[in-house]
Amino acid sequence: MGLWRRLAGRVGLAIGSAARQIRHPTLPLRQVEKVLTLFAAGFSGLDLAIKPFRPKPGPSAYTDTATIYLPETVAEFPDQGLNFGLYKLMVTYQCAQLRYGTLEFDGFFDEFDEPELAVDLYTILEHQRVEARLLRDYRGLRPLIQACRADAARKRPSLNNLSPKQQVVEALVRSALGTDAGNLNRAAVAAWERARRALAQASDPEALAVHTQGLTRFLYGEVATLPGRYERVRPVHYRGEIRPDRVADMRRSRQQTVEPTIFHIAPDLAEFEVKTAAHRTRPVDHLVVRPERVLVRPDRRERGALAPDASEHVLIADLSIPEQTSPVTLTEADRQGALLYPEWNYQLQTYLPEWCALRDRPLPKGRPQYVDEVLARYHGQAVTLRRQFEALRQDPKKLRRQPEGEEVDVDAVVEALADLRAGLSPKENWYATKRTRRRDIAVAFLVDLSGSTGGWLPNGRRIIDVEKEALILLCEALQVLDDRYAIFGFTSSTRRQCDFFTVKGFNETYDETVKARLAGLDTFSYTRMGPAIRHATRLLAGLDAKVRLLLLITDGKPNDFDGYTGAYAVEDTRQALLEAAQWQVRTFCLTIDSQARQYMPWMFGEGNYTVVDNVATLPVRLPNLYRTLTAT
Amino acid sequence: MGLELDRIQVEKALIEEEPYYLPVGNEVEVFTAAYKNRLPVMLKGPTGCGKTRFVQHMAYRLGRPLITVACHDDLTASDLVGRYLIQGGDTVWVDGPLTEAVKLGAICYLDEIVEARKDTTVVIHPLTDDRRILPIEKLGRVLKAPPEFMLVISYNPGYQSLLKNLKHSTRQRFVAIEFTFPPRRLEVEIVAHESGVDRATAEALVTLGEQIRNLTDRGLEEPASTRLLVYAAQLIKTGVEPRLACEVALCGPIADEPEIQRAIRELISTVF
Repeated sequence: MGLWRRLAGRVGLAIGSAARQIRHPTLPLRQVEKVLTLFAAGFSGLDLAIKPFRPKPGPSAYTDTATIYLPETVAEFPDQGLNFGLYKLMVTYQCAQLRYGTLEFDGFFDEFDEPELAVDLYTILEHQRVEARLLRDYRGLRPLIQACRADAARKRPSLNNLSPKQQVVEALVRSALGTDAGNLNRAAVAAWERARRALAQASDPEALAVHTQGLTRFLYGEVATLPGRYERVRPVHYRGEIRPDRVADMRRSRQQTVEPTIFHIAPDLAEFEVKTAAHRTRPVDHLVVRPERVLVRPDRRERGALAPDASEHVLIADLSIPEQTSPVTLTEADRQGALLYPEWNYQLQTYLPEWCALRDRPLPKGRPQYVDEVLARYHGQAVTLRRQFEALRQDPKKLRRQPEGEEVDVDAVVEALADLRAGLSPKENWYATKRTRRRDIAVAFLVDLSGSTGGWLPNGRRIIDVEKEALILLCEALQVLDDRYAIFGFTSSTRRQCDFFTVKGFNETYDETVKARLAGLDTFSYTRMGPAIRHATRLLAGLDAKVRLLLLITDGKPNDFDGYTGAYAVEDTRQALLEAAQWQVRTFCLTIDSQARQYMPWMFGEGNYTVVDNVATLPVRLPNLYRTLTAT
Repeated sequence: MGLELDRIQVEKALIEEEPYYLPVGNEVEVFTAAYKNRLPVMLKGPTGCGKTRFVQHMAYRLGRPLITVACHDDLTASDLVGRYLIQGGDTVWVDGPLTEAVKLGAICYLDEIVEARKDTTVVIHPLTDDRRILPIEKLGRVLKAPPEFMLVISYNPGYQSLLKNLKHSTRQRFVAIEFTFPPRRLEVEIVAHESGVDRATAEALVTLGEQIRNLTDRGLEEPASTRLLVYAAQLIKTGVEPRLACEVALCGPIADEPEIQRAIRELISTVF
């Protein structure tokens, strides 16, 4: 945020409008971003990010269909509740645009000589339709819409110094906000009359975006003939703007970046099958497979997946099979000191034997004070976690019907007496004991140390730092249990170099050496998940435990730079996880990738992963996740 | 009643009035076919989506008594099968609910089977294959289940402890019917019917339910169930202010994290 705006925000200085000279308290977006993101997800059913932008000339909002952009701060009202309400309404309108088809105008604005005029007309009319529908369907919004509409109406400029073209459009905005249109030039009066009628027609909750497009065409014809150049009018803060350029950019980039990872398609079949679990975010109505179009069987649609009013969602899946990975075997140098693991090639539906070379690498030691510093910072949480983990250990339920114990199990004795009387020889399990049930769990935490975990968070720390803190809190909490656990890290740069780090082995204690290794954890290069999962599985499988758990902590998709991307990488990872199941190893993934819902259900299986949206909460979420997963 | 028997909830009844149930798919046909073929059935689905109501409805349709056992982690094999009790100077054998169901030719519904101790689930195994027998060790008897007897279990595969999963040797003995929340049109009808609220209110509640379900996996572990929507509707029907009714029925029971709670409250204040 620029110094000027920050100052302006704090003291409520006027930026171009007389009405805002009053000092209002400022609500920064970052304070409410998380709630608004959740609200957007709930309201729309879509995966939408929220990001700040600097609207000019006044507060506004827009979406490119993947992200909703909101002002960094809002200071329109004396009441912070209403300032939040304005943010909420901005999000609601942007979500509603997505749900009601407002942004499905593919190429519509190309047909106008003055596209800016067309966009403004369309925006006003279309928002009128959206508002009519919101007012009808969400009665809880009515007071908020009224308050924001009144505020927006107060802040509109006068018509005096505007060109006839602008006058008509500005009068249209004023009228849409329920305020007096103002005095128009004689030249503009006739066009205004028609505009007013178009506005009334647009305010129909049953109408569709195509109707608005028709009205826009008609009205454009009326207004464009007025003299002068058109300059855009200011957007209405709570309704926001429509940015066809950003929508088109996003559409293009989506078509390029949609990876076929979520699809599993046998191209020789007459009927294509999309094997995917979660399409909550981008429903598939059609799957375009070059060169022909194939209809996805409608029964594959996930319930609740279809966006209301969705006309057609087209995904381009690139089915071209990547160049046959060269069948070159690993060289002698590659094999030196390495464990060789196979890899699953889903296109060939076969294992490539001895494909990846994995090596155990030593970890650099970090500053010994690091762990203590982290614990000092998280003192409160660490104490709470420890107490919660103790509750796991002190299983309050006593073990009943035991052959020996410190207490008599009255139920068992009564039953035994009854059996005796009935002439049966009773079982001799008359005791109850408070000896804690052995949990008998062995768990490996497998941490992704790829370069992307070096990404910076808003609070000035890196993802890896937060991951380290999470591991430290976890280790501290695990001190009170006798679960066997190990912490491993992994990274890769091609299949020739898959590195595996042991932070803490199963048989090591959480001591100064382990703490130094924890402190020394750092980021490396890529994420070849397959070999790391296979190796950790072997290590776990060798242990004698009732429950063996492999918990992967990652920030994204599997990925390496020798073609281990997209579907190939996802399928190999999935295969490695299926192998783990055969080794009686349970797998679970904790990811901080907000896009993970698109591929995780296929890779790990529904219910076997969790997404942490707010990375900062990871240090507490990780131990808590472990606690939930292993609760008896 | 013995000490143990007090703890398990046994409901035995021939259901006299038809329990309201709106079929979502072909579950009624599948269940009926399973009954005719003497196959045990597993009802899978999240909590509050209508599994128990469905069993009641089917028991009524098929004209069989229904014996329901709510499983818990202290449920022993004796609790299900039966035991000797001392009454006065005598010992008396008392059938457990499972034995009783076999004798009556009833539908025995073991609710939330994963909660039961692992060694307990094994006693149902001989009943679930083509032998259809129940050995009663203490009586030295083996009961043969009549054709009318049917075993039904419920199972919620949602987010839960890895230590509490149904063993494959148990699961693979059942025909599974999957339940999800009903589609919008039906859910509106269910909410309206169960609570007596007007259609507009039911529509609004279902909209809210869908929006809250969109938050599953984002901090919400279990989605807002149809049952909770009905609770909210019932509160509204008796005059509780709608926003308050939704907060106590749809926010408190499912969310602990303050940010999720706030988001749900914002959704509530959008719909109502």
